[in-house]
Amino acid sequence: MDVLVTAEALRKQFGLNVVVEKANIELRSGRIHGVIGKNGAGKSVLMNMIAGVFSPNGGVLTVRGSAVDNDRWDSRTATAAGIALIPQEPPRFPFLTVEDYLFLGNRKSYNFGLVNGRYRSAKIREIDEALGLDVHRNDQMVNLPIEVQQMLAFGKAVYLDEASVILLDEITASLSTVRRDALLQELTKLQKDRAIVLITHRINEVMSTCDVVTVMRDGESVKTIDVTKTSANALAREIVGDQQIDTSSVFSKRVAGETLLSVSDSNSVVLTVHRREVVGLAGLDGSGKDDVIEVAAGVSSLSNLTASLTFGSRIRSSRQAAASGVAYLPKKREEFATIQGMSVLENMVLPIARTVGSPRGLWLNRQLRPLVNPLIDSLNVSPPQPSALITSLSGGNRQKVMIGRLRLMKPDVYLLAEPTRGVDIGTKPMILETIRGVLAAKAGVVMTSESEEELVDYCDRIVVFFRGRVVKVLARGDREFTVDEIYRLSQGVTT
Amino acid sequence: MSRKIEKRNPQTSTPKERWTRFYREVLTEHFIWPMVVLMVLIGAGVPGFLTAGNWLNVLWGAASLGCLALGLYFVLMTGRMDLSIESTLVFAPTIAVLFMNNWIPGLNPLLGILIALGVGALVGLFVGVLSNYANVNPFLVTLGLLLALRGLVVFLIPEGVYDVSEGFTALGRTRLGEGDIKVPVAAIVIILIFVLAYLVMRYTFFGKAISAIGNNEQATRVAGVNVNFIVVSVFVVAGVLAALGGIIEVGRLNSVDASMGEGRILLVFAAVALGGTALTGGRGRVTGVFGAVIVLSGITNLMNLVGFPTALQQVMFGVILLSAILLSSLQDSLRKRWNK
Repeated sequence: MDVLVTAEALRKQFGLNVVVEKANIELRSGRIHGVIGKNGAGKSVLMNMIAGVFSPNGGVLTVRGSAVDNDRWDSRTATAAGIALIPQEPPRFPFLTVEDYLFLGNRKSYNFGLVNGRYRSAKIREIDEALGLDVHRNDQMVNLPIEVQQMLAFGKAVYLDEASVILLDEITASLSTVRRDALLQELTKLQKDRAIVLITHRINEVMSTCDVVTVMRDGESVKTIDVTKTSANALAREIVGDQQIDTSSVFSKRVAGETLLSVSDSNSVVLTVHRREVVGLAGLDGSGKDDVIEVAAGVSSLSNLTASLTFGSRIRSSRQAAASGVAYLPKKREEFATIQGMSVLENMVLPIARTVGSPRGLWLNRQLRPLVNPLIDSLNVSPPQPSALITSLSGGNRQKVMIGRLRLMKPDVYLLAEPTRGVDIGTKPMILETIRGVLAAKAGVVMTSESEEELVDYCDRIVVFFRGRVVKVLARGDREFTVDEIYRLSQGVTT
Repeated sequence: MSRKIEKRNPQTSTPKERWTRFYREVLTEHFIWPMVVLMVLIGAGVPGFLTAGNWLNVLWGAASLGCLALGLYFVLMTGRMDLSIESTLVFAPTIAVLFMNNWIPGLNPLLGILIALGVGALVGLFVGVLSNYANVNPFLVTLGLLLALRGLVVFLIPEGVYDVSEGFTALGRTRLGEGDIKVPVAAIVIILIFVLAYLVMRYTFFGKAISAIGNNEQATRVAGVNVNFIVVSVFVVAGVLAALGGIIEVGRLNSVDASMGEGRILLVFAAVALGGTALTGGRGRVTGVFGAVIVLSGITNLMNLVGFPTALQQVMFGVILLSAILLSSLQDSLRKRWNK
């Protein structure tokens, strides 16, 4: 088994923010190497460094026995060295045909600059058969399902670019079960003379497919384990680390008030929210937790989910939700929440300004400033000027402004999709304490978070999702109300 | 408490800092005003340019362009586009004049004006509803209307109409006052409309919502604003303004001609872009559009005063549009440099 790529103490920082430090990995041909860890552990960044998308800031990267120059390591050189990265999102070439996409940048498919039809047909047939795609060469990429686009990217790397090091960054997350199993099968066939890396969130996939697994935590590779010598449970413990926080003492159990909102699917109630409680939704991406929030906020409609207010009708649109006392903080703040060209004040009052102006419809900063200033003070927004442009604020402060916006709406229910996403570490506790202390004092709160610790620290109940279903509801005070247990449940690992 | 107030107003600075802030603000946000000054300085050498009477004429000539530019400004602010206003300019008064002369002879000219404005509103409503609810790109909808309405006018009044009721043309023709300086009503109307637009954009929810939509439509929707209603209203406003511009123009010419304002939309785009409005939406000022309309109208006036060949005036406007585009990209890079 030849060693194809070695990374030793690889480091990457963006500005002052170190995202990967002391990352070690050794990729050998003939072996499927799992890389596992929580979001933000540095898995993708490490792969992007190996594939030359990011150049490392430190450490030694060795490819086929010779160390590379970190500053000159880019994706062109990496591709030439036979390294291919299939990223989480398929490449966007909406209007290219399958054929044009596959042979993009492929010299062999041309004879003196003319399309080599015979070679192309043969290769397309080969890929189509190997991966069972059933696509036509003239299909447009945009018309193909995401998973087929993803498989084409994989096929291009393996069969056309003939890469010997294949890095799959959470490719299985967007695949259907059938296709995923087929791909994992194919990987075991292909591994003979190639090194394959499989980044995944699913421990079960690692257990069934990989030979070795590297666990990453907080930007470091903490351990590389032979898969035959470990168990799913042991692996889950490695991923979370041994930080056992005594959570029950942080906040005491509270008595929740009346039911405010409920979301149900075709046969059962998925989520209920009561006054004076924080409900956390846990689960992997695509587990269904985001769908529940989006349906309740009226921003997306799914046939099998309905959200209704206790004293009102079904929620059908975001405007209706906002009008009936449901305030929503979207996950992608910059895309769906902040209005970039406008000021802090304008961003905060936008949802309520229509009704507070006197006479109605008028927008006078003189009338609006007294509403905004107390919030700027209590949330400690910096800079504290209501006239500051929202884009001049840091991510954490923008999030505070958004929370201020929701508070002005005086809602009964807050739906917070990852309120700590893109928020600097210093600001996170402040935001979380506001959620529990201020928002949940008068209303009901639903929140998601990438970090199980945050949920365990600040929620009263946690609903755990796995593959679109609720697997368990845990309440503060339960023996199982722990980071470990929630992580295990959201992985679908049962003891 | 007093400390906080101080924190909110960090305006205590040296004169030099204040000067830096001032010229940066002017160069990045109000670029049109140095150009107005430049035009005045150039024009100062031309006899008859810097007189009150001439400037009232400039405003008078700017009235219909100003109406169209203001309408397009609102539409562009929401990140959309409207080409049809050029044809609404002639279509709305045509229908009104046909009502007064042919369909209901002797109709009160005041009602005629209302009919014209109503037709403008209907055209805007049509564009707004079609582009918003049927999800058709407004560029294509209004391109279609631009052609269709113009064709309809040519069909309805191929020879033009030369006996337009006096009450109908009053808005564009009449001058108020005695003696040397008589103020055209159209000049007053255009100033009032721009002041109104400025107040709407600055002091109403409607105005704020318009710029929010242009900045980030998705987020505005999520914030609970009725985006569809606002966008449709904006098209209606643009239609009404185009109709008003048409009424003024008909009054000035004292006739309706089927080719009135043909090709004007390009000049309207030039005015709005020159005024610093982002074609992608969300950024732009009413004052900037006003300044740009004055510059374009003032240059036309200057060219007429010095006897610049009419054929070359078109070239001049092309050069102005090109420099407007150049200047706006220059403004963007200045903004990036100074805002870090």
